[in-house]
Amino acid sequence: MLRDKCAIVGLGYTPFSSKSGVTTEMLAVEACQNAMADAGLKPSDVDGLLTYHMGDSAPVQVVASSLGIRELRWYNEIAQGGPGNCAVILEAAMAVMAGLAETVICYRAMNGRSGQRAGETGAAGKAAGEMQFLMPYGIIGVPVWYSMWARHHMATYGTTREHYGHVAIAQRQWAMNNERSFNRDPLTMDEYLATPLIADPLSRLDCCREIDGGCAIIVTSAERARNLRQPPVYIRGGAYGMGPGGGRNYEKWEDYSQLFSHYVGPRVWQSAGLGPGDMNFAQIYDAYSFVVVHQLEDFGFCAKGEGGPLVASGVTAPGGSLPLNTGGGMLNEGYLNGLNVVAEAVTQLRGQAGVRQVADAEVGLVSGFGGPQGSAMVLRK
Amino acid sequence: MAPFVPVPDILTQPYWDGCRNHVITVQQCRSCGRKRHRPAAGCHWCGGQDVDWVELSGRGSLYTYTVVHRAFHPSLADEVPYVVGLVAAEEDPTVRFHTRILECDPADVRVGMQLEVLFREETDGIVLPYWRPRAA
Ligand SMILES: [Zn+2]
Repeated sequence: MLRDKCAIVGLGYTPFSSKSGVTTEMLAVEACQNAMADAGLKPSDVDGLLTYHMGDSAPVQVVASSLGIRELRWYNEIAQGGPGNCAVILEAAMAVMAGLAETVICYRAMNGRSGQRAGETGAAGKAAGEMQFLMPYGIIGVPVWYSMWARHHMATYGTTREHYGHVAIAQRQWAMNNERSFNRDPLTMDEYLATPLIADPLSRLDCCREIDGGCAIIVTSAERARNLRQPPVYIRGGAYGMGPGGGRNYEKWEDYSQLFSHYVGPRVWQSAGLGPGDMNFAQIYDAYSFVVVHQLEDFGFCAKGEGGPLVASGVTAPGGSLPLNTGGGMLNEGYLNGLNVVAEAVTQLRGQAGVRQVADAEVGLVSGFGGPQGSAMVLRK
Repeated sequence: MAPFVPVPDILTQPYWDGCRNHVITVQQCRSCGRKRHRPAAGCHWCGGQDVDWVELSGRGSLYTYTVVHRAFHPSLADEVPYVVGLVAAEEDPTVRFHTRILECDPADVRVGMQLEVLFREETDGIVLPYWRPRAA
């Protein structure tokens, strides 16, 4: 039982940019050092290290060495993207609860813009493995796959481009008060609808921007957390997993209008002993605008098919009853595979979010998306 | 001509062999009887591993689609906008195929539209199935 036995005690970033000019090892080390400084910990206080990546980052063993951790007692790497964001926190908590490590740094570091980009393909020619059923047809580029999920929801439930636009517009309002955001100007529905499509119904305003950067989050036991520098943020509950169709095996997905949250949602609430109505905010993995709508439904913030009208009602914008992606999300901060989504939840629960602080934020939901596979957790102060 | 030619492997060779004979063939699980695509080492319904390869009619309906406006590969620059989608087989709509939709104006594409398969020769002896609208 996870229930509040572990806590997040450190948070560190590198700058987010289009061209870091440094290696992923250097980004990882900088983020981890900043997280240790934030927590008031030295390298000798850390005995566990965990990351997630898609073959685009430095090995965890190299990072441990460069951090000066003389004896690492537990480490691992999770080979995946978005779902890794909550998975690393939950895995770290498991390691702490099992006594394998006492204090674990979880990080994600990537040159996602200047280095290896998502869905990158080489020269024309051969398509092997899973790609033999996709690339010959010009199904190339992540937005091309994902746009078909949005279209299915639109055809099934009457969801519109305007509905997805409300996600982008509300999150831009939040982003205006986030110094890490690269978008600080308001977004109007006219501008949203006039932006050229990449793959119908998605335009660039529906897609997060790839960036270079690093982020690190430190997990330790609740007992140790009480004696450290920052207010502890407790891991109340969590879950991850998948239904059929994971690993880009998308033909076997049960229902394109559902995401991983269809499976993980009920379990995260059971784990936390709380429900959607108890949340003071939600940080929902937003590589794309539309996946926010679909997740809100799956997590039970509204009925299936009602996610579009829910966001259009304005509840997710600043001042609304369901503050959502309160740093502007990855649509505005950039794609750090969602560890920045976790970080925003921690910042809110510490009460350190400045002008964008959600009043009386005591508990919130965080998610990590990868299609039919994903993760979620509830954090509380 | 497709920008990328599929490379069959031991799991998928029977599918591509079927295409060469202008038929869509899929794995059918000997344990539970369900058909599946894409070919896999086991049945995602029951875990059964023994299969028969069975022929489908080549008729289906459009489960979802997108109109691609940006070329994500230089070889596609002259083809945008083009329509790609996921086709549900008439015999079992849980059996689905990614494809390019041909002979369909992007303005006319609709979820649920009736489709039929057609086959085109590519390089390396590969025949690639595409789908196009079919009269009701
Ligand atoms: Zn079976």
